[in-house]
Amino acid sequence: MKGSKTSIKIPSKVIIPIIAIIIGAIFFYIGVFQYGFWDSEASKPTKGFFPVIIATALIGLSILALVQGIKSEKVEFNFKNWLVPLGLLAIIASSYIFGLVLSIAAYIVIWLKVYEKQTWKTTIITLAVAMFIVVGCFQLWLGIDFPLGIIFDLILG
Amino acid sequence: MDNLMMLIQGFSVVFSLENLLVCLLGAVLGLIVGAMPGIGSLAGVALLLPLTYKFNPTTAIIMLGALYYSNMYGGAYSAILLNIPGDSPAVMTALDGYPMSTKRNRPGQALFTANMASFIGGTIGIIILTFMGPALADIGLHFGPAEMAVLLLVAMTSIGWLVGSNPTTGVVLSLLGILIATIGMDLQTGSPRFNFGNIYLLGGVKFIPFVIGTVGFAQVMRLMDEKDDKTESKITEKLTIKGSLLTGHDFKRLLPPAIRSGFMGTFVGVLPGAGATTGAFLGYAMQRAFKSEEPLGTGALEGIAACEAANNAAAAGSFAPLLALGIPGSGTGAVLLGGLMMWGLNPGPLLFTNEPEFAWGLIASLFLANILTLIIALGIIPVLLKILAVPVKVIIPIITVVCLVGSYSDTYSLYGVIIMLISGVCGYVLEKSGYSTAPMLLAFVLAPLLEDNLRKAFVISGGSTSAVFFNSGISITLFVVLVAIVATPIVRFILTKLGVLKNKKETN
Repeated sequence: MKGSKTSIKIPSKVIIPIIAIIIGAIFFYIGVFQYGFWDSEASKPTKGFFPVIIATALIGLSILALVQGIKSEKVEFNFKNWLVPLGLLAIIASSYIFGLVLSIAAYIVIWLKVYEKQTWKTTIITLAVAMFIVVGCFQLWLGIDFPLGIIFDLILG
Repeated sequence: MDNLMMLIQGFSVVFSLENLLVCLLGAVLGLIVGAMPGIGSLAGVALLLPLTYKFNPTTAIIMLGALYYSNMYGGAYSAILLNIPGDSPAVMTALDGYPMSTKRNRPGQALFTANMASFIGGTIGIIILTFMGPALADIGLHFGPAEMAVLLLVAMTSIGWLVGSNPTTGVVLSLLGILIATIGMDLQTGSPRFNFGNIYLLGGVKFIPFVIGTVGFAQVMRLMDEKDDKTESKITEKLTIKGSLLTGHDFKRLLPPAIRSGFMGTFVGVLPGAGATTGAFLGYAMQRAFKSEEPLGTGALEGIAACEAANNAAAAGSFAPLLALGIPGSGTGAVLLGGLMMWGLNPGPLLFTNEPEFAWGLIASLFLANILTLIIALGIIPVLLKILAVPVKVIIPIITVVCLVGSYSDTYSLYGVIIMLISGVCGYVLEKSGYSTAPMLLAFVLAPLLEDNLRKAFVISGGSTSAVFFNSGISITLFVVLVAIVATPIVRFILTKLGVLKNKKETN
């Protein structure tokens, strides 16, 4: 797993088929041994019938993809791309305390001002657009209630 | 004649104030999202899907149709002004669009050409759809569960086979998409299946968070690679509507390629897996066989017209199998189909009979969206450079927030957000590793229909496989096609190993 300081090289073309084989095997096992394949008395398929067929095909083709992937080059993943899911996880964690809307606002400001080093003008305009989407479109227009978080729940009783 | 009468009825559905406004909103949003480099129609439709919650099914789908359709217009703008295609069909537009706007110093005319050609191609496509849709549905009425099951298998595997560089990986993801769709409740017995003791999974993997993650969130992760790219235009002159108008001579040059590509693109759009990108490529390739006033690739108006007309016609054509057979031709079509199913509508041969108001309303709305989008597209020419100047680093947090609230609003819980996050990360890793996720989305949407038909077919046949796959001429033909599709990558792999076929890498 070599790479530079800002990236890592992973044999994902080998790892993905292996994961697919494992998923196929799990669905195959549960399908055959827990749900059954065919109800011979009623002469009809059971709920495991369809997943078992698909899982079998998945295992077979994943083995082929694995063989093809072994000689493939490793894929380079940059660390910066993973800041996006990390940011999302931070919003989720923060929403339990400060609520989703406030957490989103804080995320926009931190992302643009601290990470991207944008001007206050750009940051505030972007924040206004994001708040229009979240509060204007989703909360007011579509009527979606976003979680308020522990602090606001306590204040509002 | 019946079709025209039904179409007029469809217009009566569309011409309500709410539907008109929604069609307009869809057209504006689609145009803006399509114009922004790096988002594309698939992510655009997926991200805006939650906005349809407010409406009834017909209105919701009218908005989605307008959105999808106008997206096709928007993709060309960044290709013409920045040499950055907004989506894959616009790759061909950039070949002549950018030289026409920079070397020939006619950026406004290049945009006008793209808009007019899109309008002409789209109009041809929708007119053909008006007649082809019901005709396809009539053929579909002859399909029983067995034929439908094999047809669905062909659609899924052919898209897995055609999309992306490696057929094996496409089919692997199709199968994975089917297995993900089996999680939740078994609809025929009403009992839980593959929920692994998790109460959230009893309701299955939700479509909207899954699609927003796989397409939208994965796209945001990819955009991080482009966030420092400069999107400044070399065009210094101010764009105006008056300065963008085409001359009579320009129109004479534009019409023949637009009409040719309009017809060709529509039929390409009907084929599974082909879609707007293939339409644009073939439209441009076809133009090479005809005379152009300037050589293609140097800013020829004919080049822009050929590919823009073809991709919009293909977008319209792809509605025919989607509505009449319930089979989408692309990832975006799969998202639209998922949207239809979300609203309790089942596209297929009976749609035109059971839900004529909806089916014809949608087709009529495409006509309306085509006209509205043309007007808006011409109107926004003066501000296009400003829209395109929005930096990617500012778009990233906004799309992240849209993904978050869109997936939350589907489940009213963070479960939707978690599904979106997991599918987004997986989608990013898969695409980065050369696995196209479009077949997975398509398979995920079609899986319940496939399982239902397959199980019915086996009940009818009493468990006889031969009675399912070889009970009619249609089944046999489709089964042979299916076997050919599935066997091709395996045979190719074996032949390559044996040295009969040359490895792609060696030949390059």
